[in-house]
Amino acid sequence: MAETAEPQDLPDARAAADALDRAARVAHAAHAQGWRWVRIYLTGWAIGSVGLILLIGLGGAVGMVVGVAAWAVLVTVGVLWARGQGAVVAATKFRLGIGSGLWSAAYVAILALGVAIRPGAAYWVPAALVSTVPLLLAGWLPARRPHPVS
Amino acid sequence: MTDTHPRHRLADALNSPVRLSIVAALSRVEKADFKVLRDTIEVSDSALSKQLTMLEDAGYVSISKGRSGRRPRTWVRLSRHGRDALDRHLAALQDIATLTPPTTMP
Repeated sequence: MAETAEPQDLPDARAAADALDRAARVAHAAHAQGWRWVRIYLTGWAIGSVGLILLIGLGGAVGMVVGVAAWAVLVTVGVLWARGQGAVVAATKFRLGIGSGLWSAAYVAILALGVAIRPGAAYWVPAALVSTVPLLLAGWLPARRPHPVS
Repeated sequence: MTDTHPRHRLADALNSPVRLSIVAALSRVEKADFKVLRDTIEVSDSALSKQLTMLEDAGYVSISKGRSGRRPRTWVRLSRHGRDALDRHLAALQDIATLTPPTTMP
């Protein structure tokens, strides 16, 4: 960088404080934007999971067809929307990976148990809510701050 | 003459408010695309493009091009060198800010 600041361009105390404040504000804004979509994505997935499991468990054959079809649409829209996001915070891949992995395990276990014992709403409603736990934890557990800006 | 004043630790490339804002915004994300940076920092496309080129030349950021569907996409990441420079610059600004407390104008 050829550019060198002239002495008159160098910040005094007030200018330095302003620069620090501005740096903190933009750093916070970019970080918040990167987190916001991860939270929306995982929360939307959690809400969809409740609907999917209730439709499969309580909706009979029609419910299963409707649930799986709606799920396919939701996943497609969600993935396309997530791909369009322009700020990615450091732990995004980890959070999406751990959330989706644990959700998949919970989903398979809930369906396997439900198909085996054919329970009623007393099983499917809490099971549907339990399936949201990994997604909500992955989306909402506070993140470690990676940098002292802010 | 000794270089004890904190201004000697300022990074020349970050004395521009826009460049400091770009690097600060990137410091808390893994990467950001051109549009997010433009909207966060509130500058024009051409101004951001010019400042990004300067930061890339200084080795502070890396720029990669891609596509999102049909839309071209420019991703920007802060380099290790850029992060170190930002840390030093912010520490120097902090020292300058505390050298003489700002006075309140009447």
